[in-house]
Amino acid sequence: MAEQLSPLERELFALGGEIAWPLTPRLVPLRRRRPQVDRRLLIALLAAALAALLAAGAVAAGYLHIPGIEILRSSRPLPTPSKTLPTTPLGERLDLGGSEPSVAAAAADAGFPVRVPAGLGPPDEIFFKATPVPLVTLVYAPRADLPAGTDPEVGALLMEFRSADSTNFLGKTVGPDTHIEQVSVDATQGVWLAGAPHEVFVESTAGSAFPDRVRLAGNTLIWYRAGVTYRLEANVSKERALAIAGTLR
Amino acid sequence: MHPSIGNGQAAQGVEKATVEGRPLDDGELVARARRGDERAYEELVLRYSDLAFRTAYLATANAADAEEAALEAFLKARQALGRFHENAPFRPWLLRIVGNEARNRRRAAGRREGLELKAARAGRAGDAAPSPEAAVLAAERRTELLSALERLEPDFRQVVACRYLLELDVAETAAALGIPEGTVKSRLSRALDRLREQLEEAVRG
Repeated sequence: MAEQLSPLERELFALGGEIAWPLTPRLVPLRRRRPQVDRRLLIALLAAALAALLAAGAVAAGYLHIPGIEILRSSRPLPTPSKTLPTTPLGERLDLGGSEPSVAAAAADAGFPVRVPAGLGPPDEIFFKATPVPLVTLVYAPRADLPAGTDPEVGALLMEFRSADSTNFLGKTVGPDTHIEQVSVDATQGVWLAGAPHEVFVESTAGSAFPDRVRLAGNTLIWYRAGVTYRLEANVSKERALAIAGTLR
Repeated sequence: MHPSIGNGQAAQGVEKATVEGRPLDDGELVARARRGDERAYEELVLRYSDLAFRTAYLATANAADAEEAALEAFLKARQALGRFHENAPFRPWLLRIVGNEARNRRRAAGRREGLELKAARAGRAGDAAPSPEAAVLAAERRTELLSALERLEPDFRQVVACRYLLELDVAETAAALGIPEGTVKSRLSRALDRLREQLEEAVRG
């Protein structure tokens, strides 16, 4: 049945053909499944059409994948987090959840063993957040060997969460100047991100994006071991980060 | 000729999946993708890149957010292909995922800026050159229409933009916006009334 269109509707349809839409970015290739030679080694790097992306000033050059984390390369520079004096408590400011009295208490709430980097000593603060996945964060205050990054109250931050291959819980968008390097962490594979701001977004297992307030964007080491994904963010060199990661107990 | 939405972007370099030179329809591509054919899914992505990106842009009012939403939607759609009813239309199913992603991203980004749509320069390639007077009139009318659209309440503007600017049908508009079809129809009717009133006021000066 032919639809009877009013003159206004015809004008609106015509207008649709004349809208100056932003240039559609290239949305392929998508992340591919790799042969599961080793479930822990799901780091994948996909090449993409950088030239087209740069021409479009847009996103999505490739991915690195560790269970629970997806890294998205952006060709647009990301905003540098502002260094402002904190006005809210750390846990609230970084959306880390509630404070925990001890590592053991956090592990009991999280339902998985929480490991502490012996090289850093006991954490200054411990947080636990139940959603979208159980997440424990160990926070180290700035000190001589852990200079503050973008947050004046954080010298190092270690996040630990149980992850599955199918779960993209934590996503990172990295800018064109962010250095990405595959590294070996404690006999398993990891990723080192450094050099330029990278954003973090959080997704539920159901696929909904959650507000991201974790935007320290310092140098970050991400690795996976025995069902748990670790993310160490600190204003330190790659060698120091790897050394710290190697002392998890 | 303005590129019609959803006809793919062959220039982007992915070889199209075909049978004896005939482009596969959505159902055939979906069936192949469900069997693990990566190229078939890439063809679907190319086919609907414009539509997904623009639908997301209408919701996010931000190109970077729209891109991330569209990209994420394609990833999630692929993961969910196993649950997709093979005989169901792919477009509204995809648009529902895109709409969800875009709204989530807008909420996550905490953005409040309004959607800004601009008309491309008058006189597209292949069009007959209009007289200067006609061109001025057409440009004025476009500006009035866009201005009236911008003044609509966001819910009305969204439904008009999806239905007319993106040429979605009512079911697809409902899927993209996450609202019932009846709501789409009633909002469209009221939105068109508002637009007519605003345009008449503009004419009266």
